[in-house]
Amino acid sequence: MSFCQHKGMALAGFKIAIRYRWENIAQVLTNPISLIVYYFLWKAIYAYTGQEIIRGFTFPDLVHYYVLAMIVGFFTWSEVDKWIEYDVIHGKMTNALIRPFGFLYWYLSFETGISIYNLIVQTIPVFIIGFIFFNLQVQGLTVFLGFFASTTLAFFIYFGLAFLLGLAAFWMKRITGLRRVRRIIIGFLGGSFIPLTFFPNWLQQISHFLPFEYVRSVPILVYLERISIFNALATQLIWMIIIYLLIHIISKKAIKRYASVGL
Amino acid sequence: MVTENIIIHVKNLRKEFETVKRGHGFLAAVNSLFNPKKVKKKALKGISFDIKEGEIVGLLGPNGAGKSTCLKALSGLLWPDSGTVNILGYVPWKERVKYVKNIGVVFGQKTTLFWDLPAIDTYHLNKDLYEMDNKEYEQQVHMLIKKLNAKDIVKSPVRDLSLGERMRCEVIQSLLHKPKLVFLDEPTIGLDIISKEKLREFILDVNKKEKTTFIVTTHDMQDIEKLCKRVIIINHGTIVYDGLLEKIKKKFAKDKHLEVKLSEKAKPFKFKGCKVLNATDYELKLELDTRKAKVKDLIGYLMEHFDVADIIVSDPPIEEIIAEIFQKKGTTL
Repeated sequence: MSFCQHKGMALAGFKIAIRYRWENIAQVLTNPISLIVYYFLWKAIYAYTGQEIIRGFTFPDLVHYYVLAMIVGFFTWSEVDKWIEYDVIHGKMTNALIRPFGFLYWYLSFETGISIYNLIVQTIPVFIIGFIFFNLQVQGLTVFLGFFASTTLAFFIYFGLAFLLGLAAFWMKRITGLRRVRRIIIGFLGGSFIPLTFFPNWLQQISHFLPFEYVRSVPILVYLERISIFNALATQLIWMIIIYLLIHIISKKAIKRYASVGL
Repeated sequence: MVTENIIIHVKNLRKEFETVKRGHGFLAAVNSLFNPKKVKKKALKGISFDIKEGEIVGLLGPNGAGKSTCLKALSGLLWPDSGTVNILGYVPWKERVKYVKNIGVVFGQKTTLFWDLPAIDTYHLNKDLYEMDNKEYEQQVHMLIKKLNAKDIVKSPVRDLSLGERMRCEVIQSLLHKPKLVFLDEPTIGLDIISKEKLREFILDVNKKEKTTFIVTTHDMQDIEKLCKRVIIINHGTIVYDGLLEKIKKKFAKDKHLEVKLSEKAKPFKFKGCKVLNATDYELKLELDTRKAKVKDLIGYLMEHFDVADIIVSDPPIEEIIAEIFQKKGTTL
């Protein structure tokens, strides 16, 4: 695997993302709506309870949390399970398998290209909106780099989880239902619906031993300086290694089952 | 035995598929949910053959005969149950990444180009994936585009192309990285007669100049006749014939076709071993079984009894010969 191969694949992903730019623009325009909903909902809750701090968050903190959740969400977004499902059902895996490139990297490098596109057209604009309209604090270089590293690791973990689920398509063919479950679990246990501190203690404890909070909550908390950068990155790295080892083992078995329909 | 230029060695290749069989209707569907009836289908029942460098081999067989399965196993897409395959020193499915660098494929029914991108973008990606250097790539891509007359079509998204245009793009892709071996699965599907002819000439040209080996499956017998000296015929998962195309033609061409033009109205006649396929007032189409009578005797007979203007003698078309082989179940030739 050379860098050149990854670059070529990422470029293809980038080009396809540009092809579908209107879909992206629609997303950029509609996603802030949920941000506005959260804003007014929490404003009402803070006003009603009259408390300054709920579960460790002031109102501005919480708004920043949601802005960052959106940034992390945009950057780490991957639908590789959908691609694998489609490719298995339609016998399109052939495209990947006839080229001299690892099966995992075919999808990973491609999605990296899409993520770089998302970084430019979605992540950076939301950052700017956050700074201007929501008083998101501008962090120092260390925190900022820590956040960037943590989000990148989150991308690889999110992709890995989606890829693992996608591999189920080799056995089950259709995994649309499972994909929905995955999205909800990551939203819920990953902390993009509400911060995990709002959950009961036992659930928070369990969540530490699951990979989901490391794809959403952890990078956000790194930016808000609520957890140690080193611990965050180290734990993310461990999860990444575990997930990619699993992928390595399972994808070998999966490819053996592949029989492209009709050729 | 000269072994150094054998590049494909296949021995006892077997593959079984398991599918769930169910009847039609609601009850059958519910029943199959709880009690799936698994049916094993033997796609390949142990096939063996060798192919030498520079050959163009036609792989023939009726639908569901196992030729696609064979092709998939050879191109590294499928893990067979047993048997050995060695192509260019690789076991295709085990050393897939290294192996596919040396082969090119065209699957006529399915595109391997990126649907949303112009073909030229996919070529560019392939340049990176196959790790070609820029100069080599530029030369090759220009040469192929020029030869297949595809200058404009490679620039529009593949989904906007007609089937024929797309096929030309696919062929370019398959030859871009100068593979030693190319699998063509129905390469002329959707092409008009002139394009078909051009493509065949092009394939022959590449074969001659680069010594590229081609394995072709097709339902167009013209392709086979123009391209292949050797054919392998598969039926019911076994090889029923492997040898020269000429040889089957001779063996099976016991029948001759005669087209007779007359200057007078045809009258009914009888001749041993002769069958009238089609008759109009001034034209007869006859088929003669050469085991029962000689062609020259029939011609003599016709000359005697009719005012003959013209006679054309020909072999039956290859389609009919192949169809005859397909119908014979597992007989050895």
